[in-house]
Amino acid sequence: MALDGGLLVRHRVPFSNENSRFKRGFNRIRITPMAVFWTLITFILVIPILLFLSVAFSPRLMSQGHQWFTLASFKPVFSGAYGIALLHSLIIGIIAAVGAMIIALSMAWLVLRTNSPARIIWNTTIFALFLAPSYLIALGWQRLFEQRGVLEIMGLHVEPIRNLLYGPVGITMVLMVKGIPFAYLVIANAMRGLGEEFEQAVRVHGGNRFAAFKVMASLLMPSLFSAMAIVFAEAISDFGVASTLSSVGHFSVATYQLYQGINSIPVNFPVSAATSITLLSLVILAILAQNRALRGRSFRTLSGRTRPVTITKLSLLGKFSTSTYIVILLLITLGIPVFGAISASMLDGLGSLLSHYTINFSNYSRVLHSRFLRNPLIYSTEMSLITATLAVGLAAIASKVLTSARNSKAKRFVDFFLLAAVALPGIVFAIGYIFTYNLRFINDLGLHIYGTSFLLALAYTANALPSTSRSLVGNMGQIQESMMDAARVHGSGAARAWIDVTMPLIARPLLIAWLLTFSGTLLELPVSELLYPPGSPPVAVGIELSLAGFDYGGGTAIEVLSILWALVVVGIAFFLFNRFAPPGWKRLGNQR
Amino acid sequence: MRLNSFKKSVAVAASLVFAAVGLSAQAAHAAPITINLYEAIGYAPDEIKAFNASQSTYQVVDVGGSTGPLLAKVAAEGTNPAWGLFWADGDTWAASFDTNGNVAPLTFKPNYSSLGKRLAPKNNSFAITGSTVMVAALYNAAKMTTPPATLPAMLRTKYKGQIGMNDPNISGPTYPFIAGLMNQLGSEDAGKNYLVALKKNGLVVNDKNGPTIHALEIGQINMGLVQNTAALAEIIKFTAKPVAGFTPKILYPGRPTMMPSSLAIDSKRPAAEIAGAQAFVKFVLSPAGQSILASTDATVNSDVLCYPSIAGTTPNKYVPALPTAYQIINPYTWGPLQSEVDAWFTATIRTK
Amino acid sequence: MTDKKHVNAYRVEIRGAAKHYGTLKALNNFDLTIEPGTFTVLLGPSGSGKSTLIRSIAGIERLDFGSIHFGDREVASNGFHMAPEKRDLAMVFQDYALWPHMTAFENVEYAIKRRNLDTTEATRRVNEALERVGLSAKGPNYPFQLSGGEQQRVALARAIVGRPSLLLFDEPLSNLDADLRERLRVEIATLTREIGATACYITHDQSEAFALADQIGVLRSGELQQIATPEEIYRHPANRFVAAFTGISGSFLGTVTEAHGHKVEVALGKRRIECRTSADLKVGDSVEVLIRPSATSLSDHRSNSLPAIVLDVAYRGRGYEHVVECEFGVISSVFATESTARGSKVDIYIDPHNCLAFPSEKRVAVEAAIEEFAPSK
Repeated sequence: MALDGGLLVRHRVPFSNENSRFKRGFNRIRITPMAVFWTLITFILVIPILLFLSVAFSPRLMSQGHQWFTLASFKPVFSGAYGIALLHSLIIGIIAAVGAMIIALSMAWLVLRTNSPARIIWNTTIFALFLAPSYLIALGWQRLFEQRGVLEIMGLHVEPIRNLLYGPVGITMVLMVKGIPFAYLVIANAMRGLGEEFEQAVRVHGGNRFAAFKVMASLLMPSLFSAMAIVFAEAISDFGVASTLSSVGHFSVATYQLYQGINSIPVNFPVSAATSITLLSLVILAILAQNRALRGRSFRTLSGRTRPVTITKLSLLGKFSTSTYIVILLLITLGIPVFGAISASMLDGLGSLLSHYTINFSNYSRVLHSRFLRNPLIYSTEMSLITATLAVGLAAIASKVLTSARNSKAKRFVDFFLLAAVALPGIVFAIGYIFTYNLRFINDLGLHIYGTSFLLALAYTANALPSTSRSLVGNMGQIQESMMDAARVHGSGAARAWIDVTMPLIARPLLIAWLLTFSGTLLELPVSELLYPPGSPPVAVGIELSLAGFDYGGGTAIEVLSILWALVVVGIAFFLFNRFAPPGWKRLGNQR
Repeated sequence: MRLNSFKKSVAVAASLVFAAVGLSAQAAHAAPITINLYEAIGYAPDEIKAFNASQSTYQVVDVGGSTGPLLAKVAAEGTNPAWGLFWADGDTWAASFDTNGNVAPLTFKPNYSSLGKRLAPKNNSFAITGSTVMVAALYNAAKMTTPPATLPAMLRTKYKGQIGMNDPNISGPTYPFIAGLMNQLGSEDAGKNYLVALKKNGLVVNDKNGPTIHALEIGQINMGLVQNTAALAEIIKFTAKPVAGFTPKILYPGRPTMMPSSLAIDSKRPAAEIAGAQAFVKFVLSPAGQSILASTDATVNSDVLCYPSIAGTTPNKYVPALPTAYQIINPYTWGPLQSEVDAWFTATIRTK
Repeated sequence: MTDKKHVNAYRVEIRGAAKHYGTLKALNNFDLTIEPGTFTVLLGPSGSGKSTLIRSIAGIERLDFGSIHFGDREVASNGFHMAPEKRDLAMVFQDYALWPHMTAFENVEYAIKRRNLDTTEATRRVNEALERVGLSAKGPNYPFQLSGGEQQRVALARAIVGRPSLLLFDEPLSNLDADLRERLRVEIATLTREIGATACYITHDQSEAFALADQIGVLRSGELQQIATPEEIYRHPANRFVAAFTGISGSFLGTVTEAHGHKVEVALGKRRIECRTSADLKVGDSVEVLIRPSATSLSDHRSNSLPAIVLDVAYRGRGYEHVVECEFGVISSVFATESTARGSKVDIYIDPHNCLAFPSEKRVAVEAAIEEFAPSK
């Protein structure tokens, strides 16, 4: 199979002889990378989602009820209470998304366009931020602000903050904080591909620095919207943060209904599916908003003519204030989960920093030999390596579709299903997989992939695809198409051209996308829990099992060790890139 | 050279794909016969290891997880199940499996103790491997010198705001506690009224055992209504390393509900696997299998702190005497009410 | 020993090419032949389809209908599309399309890989190409370190280094400054002829087209209006559009008073002007008179002139260009070696040979409507 051009073109049938429609039609069938892409997307993303949603209408289809068609599952969904819950989810999603985007944009500008001294700290900790699981974030906040928690014992009157925290404000804030690292990586990627000439044009025509900033922000719109879309979808699919920091009576969110269906005995998938459909309607709103904002504009700014930017040199006051901003942000986004981790896994006694305590690592030394750590971590690492590679390959193609100029059906299709995969809680996604790949007739065909690592890898890939592709959208949208055209015209097939021309231009973003996927997969829980091959639990399941056995110290210690391991891999990857990548690859986007 | 590196990258990509496919070839197996055990029991892996070592015909494979997701997995597998055995706390789920015709009754009669006999299903449709108590009242003796020992006592204003419990929507074992309350108080409504009264007396609700115990530790509450194994684990921890101001102790208010752990066999698997599953259940309930309860270090595996269901089994050394007045609720009656009660709890109790 | 002339220059044949985007017809039943080794320029405004055509020749876009042949080789037809990299051509793009992560040397080197030469020979050729465009010292530089003109010259070097059989140019000079444009145009013209490749060049700039081309094809809305030598296009434009697009000083509406084959006399108000025409005109027809710049001069009361007032004078180095206003409208580009002050009254002599009369668009529209509803046999 020639990988060139991806065009497995049938050698042309002598057109004059056999004019039959069949032959002509057959000539049109082409096995291209795009065809492979669409096939994969259909099987790993579209079908599992659709099959799960179908039980809302047809429980019997997947042996989940007696009726072939019913709307009864929608009954709880059409209640006023649920409508309010859905509205809550929508509002939380929007605020978290917009807030995360604004903070991330400001951070990206500070880091990439100024000489603020604290930016170096941010750069080195960004992946740690990304890896901090929401469980640790919520835990950290709780430990700080709860009744008789650390701050209260210190004498601080935190009750008003606590009341805010244990409610919509707290939920939104935690979800916003959770979204900042991803939003930052996406926006920073795009900002690197933006030469300075646009801002200079504004300054030359009389605009001040802020006007120039606005122009830059508007040119970054695709990546801004990418970031917001993902943070939004993640926020509306959240359950853990909302349930920890609130309760339905207080402040309901749509996912409660969904989990109620899943947690009831017997399990009620139809209600969960009906709820999922309403969540997806929110996704459609998000996509519509995005398409309106980006309509008809070109963002293709990255080419040979892109010049490296000059850095804004800050005054002393500027340096001080920006550094303070960065440090405060770091304290909030990273310090708090770290505090939660320390409190839960490294402190003796009551886990309170202020009572009599000693820091010891007994939990850590104990779990080093735990069966919940070693083999699961190795297995998870292998799976994450495979997933990251697969996902980045698919994501590159997906991001290309997402950035194509015309608002084609294909683009809308990919956009919707990618976001749907994020908006649906992981457990729902995994159940869709079980529905799809445990079908009897598939087994009868001789395909036994349910319960294998292969299927798990596919599910991981599909799960990672949305954020990975959106992390690349900013950059893909910047590459001027003529550069690929030039490579094709001067003798390279499509695949070669892609490797020689496009890939180097987005080498760093690809690396970051790879690392994002690796980190995200290593500690992924819901899909892991439902689809792991018997006998080979991933590390997140191991952590869950420790915590379930009331070994909170040990469970958290395993979590921390896994995070550290992921950071080691990130560090190695960056080291290898900086050491071995050709200089031209590194020059782009690294004007620092 | 560019061509070479391109070929190399293709080779790497191809081998990654083949590796992934190769990993899936795990599905192929010869003898022994494998049986998947979906379990949420801490000491299950030890049982599996011991069973697999004791014979060579069958190989039980461990699929550990939390009860909720595992049940969802089973439900999703539907009519083409991959599970051969299911082992978790509670029996409402097992009763539900039985009602839907998905379990194969035991082919032997386990040598149950009197507790076991009372807990086991009449039709022997699944095994009872042990029992925990819902609830144990874990209290801080250093702060609560005269703890409430009965249900009415917990409503006294003296204890206002000092008592906490879990949320049945999130903590599986909490529903049996509530069902037990309703059972001993005579009716569903009586139970609900009691909880409302508790709430009026400042009841603090947290998600599950962990957060409730944490609240107890820092003094947010002075008594937490939790699963007895969680309570025992906490006591063990602080007996080993005492901390001033925190002395956890247990009492059992009212008539605590026994919550059995159930082990069920899937009836839809091939006969050979079912036979193997039966053998595994037999092993777990045999002296060899039961000895694991006593021999396991409870500080890292608190599920062994259950009350045994088999006659003659020595419980783990940390397990106290069985409460004298315990009750057993019928899962076939109370199981179906769970969703409604859970929803009521959310709407009425968990709100401010 | 290197062969300076490439003997395998393609003969490009396009038959019935059509492409639409939704309801928009970018190309419509387009036929074109480019003889080997010749320089063809496709001239037209934006939206005329020239970009689509050249991209289809390159293979980076697919035609919906029609065929393209390079010599005997079919490269595109219904159901068949040869990939760009197999067509053995080269292209210079409007935005240079240099790869930013490669140096100038590496950019040029990339295009010679397909020749599978050994490294020494390849390096020699690359250096030769760079030298040919005057950038031998700039090999190690990255594109962002080069000026616009230098970047385009690197792109040119990249295009010629592999001695392609067909060279395509997609408005390569549009983004350059005026003085650079002229210099680079000369380089393009000479380089292409040196190599002997067939060349197809698209532009909207009429003077560029005339300077470069062996033959010019004028496009409008996806259709070829006329294909001929520059002289022929200039002297005998096929229709009003071609005439208007290839340089006019002014246009006026009038009525035919006398018609003798190709010579007509047109009444502009009370004035009479003699013109040429290629249409079949009769007395009384409404016409539009298009005046070439070369037709105008400041007269000394010769016949065939119009009185006017000078509006503006611009110094052009070799003389002065005047913009004048007569009673029927404005005439620009009236050249004289001496300047005449603004506001002066002058007479503009119109050389009938370079003054073209076409049926007026209104009349054309009416005729088309008549033909549609009551077609003549």
